[in-house]
Amino acid sequence: MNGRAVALGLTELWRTPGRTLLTAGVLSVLLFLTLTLAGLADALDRGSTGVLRSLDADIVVFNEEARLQLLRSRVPRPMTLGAAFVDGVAQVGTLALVPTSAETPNGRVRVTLVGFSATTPAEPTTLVEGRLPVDGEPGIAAVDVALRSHGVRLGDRLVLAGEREVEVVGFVEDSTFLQQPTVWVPPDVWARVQVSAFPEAGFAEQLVGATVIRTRPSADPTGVAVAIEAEFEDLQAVPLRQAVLAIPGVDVQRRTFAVLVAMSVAVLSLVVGLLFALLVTERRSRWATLRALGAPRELLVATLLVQGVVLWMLALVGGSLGTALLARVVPDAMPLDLRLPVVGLVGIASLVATVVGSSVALGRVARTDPAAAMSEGAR
Amino acid sequence: MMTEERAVVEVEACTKTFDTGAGVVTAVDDVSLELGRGELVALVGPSGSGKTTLLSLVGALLTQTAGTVRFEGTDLTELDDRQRTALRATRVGLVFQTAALVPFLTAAENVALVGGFAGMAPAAARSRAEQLLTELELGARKNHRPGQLSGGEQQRVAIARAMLNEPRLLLADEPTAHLDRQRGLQVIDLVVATVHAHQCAGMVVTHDERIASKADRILHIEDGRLVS
Repeated sequence: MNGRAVALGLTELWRTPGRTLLTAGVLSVLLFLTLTLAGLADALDRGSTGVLRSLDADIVVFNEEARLQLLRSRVPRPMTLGAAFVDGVAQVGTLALVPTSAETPNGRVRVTLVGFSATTPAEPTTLVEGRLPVDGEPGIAAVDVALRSHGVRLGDRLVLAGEREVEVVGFVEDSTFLQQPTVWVPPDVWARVQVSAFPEAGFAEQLVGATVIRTRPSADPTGVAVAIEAEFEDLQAVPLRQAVLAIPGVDVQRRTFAVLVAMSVAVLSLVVGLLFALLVTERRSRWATLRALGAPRELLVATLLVQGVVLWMLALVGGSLGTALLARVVPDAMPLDLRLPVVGLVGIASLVATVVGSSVALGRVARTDPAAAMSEGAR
Repeated sequence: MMTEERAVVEVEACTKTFDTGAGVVTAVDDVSLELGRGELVALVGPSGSGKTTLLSLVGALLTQTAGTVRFEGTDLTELDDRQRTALRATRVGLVFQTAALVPFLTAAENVALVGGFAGMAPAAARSRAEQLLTELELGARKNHRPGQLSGGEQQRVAIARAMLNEPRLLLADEPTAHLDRQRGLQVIDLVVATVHAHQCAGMVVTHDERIASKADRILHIEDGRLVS
């Protein structure tokens, strides 16, 4: 792309601000919609899967009847210990979840209590402030940063399930489960709250929720999972990403939003195609004149391409600002977040859509007949 | 007829037909002519007589169906699209019925634009453009956009644009068609003076005999054939 094309393309955009802003505005609206959908999908997905994604683990082991559901899974502790001896396993830990409530400075909040074994793959890797509790610290907890919006600070005391008090000693980020903030405690705290919440289940010291495994670097997690299932017939072992997909709603949510985002990108491509088709038709005489005066085809195509890319950039900035603003004003109940990777992904997809959408128009420009300047063109 | 040494363009038995779908139309029929340096030829004929088609063949905008068009000895049919484009950029100056200026560029930028097509450095093109505009008494209007110029001024800018790359051939397709009589005569006087001053070959298409009378030679065309 040569400098003349860049200069010509930019000069026109700069000196026709009304048209530039109108076109960029139309594209901004489409990108705003796309980014909002993508941001919503991302926030929903992260809000559901944070617990598992925050682990440095490769395999999650459930009891077979749990059907890969963390809340229902109950694995006998001896089996967890036994899994450590399966070939390819580097380290094991235990993870157990139970939905409950927590009294915060701003009132009662529904949370998911996570009992985890410290210094194992079940430990969250996303600590951002303070420290994590260690085994044998029953009155200590680390909580998700989402609880900060409920007034929770380091040193605060939370009352879990209306009766058990814990002190907040650390904050972890991106660790929510099914849109609820998490409270990370030693396994025995989980066991006692579990009994309070579901007295009929009774206290079972020899049961843990799920077993979390980190494999050796040389081992294939899928192969190790198969070996664990072969060793313990009542267990179901799956790679971490499969366990993430098994979280209720995650799979269908991902597929639904993928279709919606893809459709909005396709609409963007179509609109870009129509805008550029209009633009080229309107300027047909100018292209012909310039071709007659000796402008190479590549210069005209590059000029239009420069304009397309600049308009796309303006639209991406406009759409991102709009979505970021919306994310600030929508109620907390609506999970909407705009992260840089999402902007990047939508940006790349929309750039491809812009290029694809404008390709027909670019082809028409490339085929401009210079002789047309002498007849219809030079009007 | 021009001598071999002086001819910039030689057209020999040239025919151009178009397939319109409803049938084949012969726009230029067995035409031969030469254009020499420092000479302005007026091509006169009624609408649909083939004037513009002949001009387009001479200016490497169209390819003939039969016959030969040579530009300074080079057979234009031997050039590919890229070479024909380069030839137009460097050796042909074009003036259209309307000025056909780029609306968002100033007069000086419009003139300098074609310098880029010919590979001229931007600063040099700008300097030459301003010089030409001053010669055409548009120095004070160089930073005005086309919309701020009169029709006559726009056409003078178009002539400056056509002359920027010091072409060997200046072609003008009814350059006075959209101007009143007085401004039309001013523009054609400018074309005549430019051709003589720069010693390039020139061809102006017109159906106005008063305009044609300013040329060094007049060719009449009817139904695609030169009749005088």
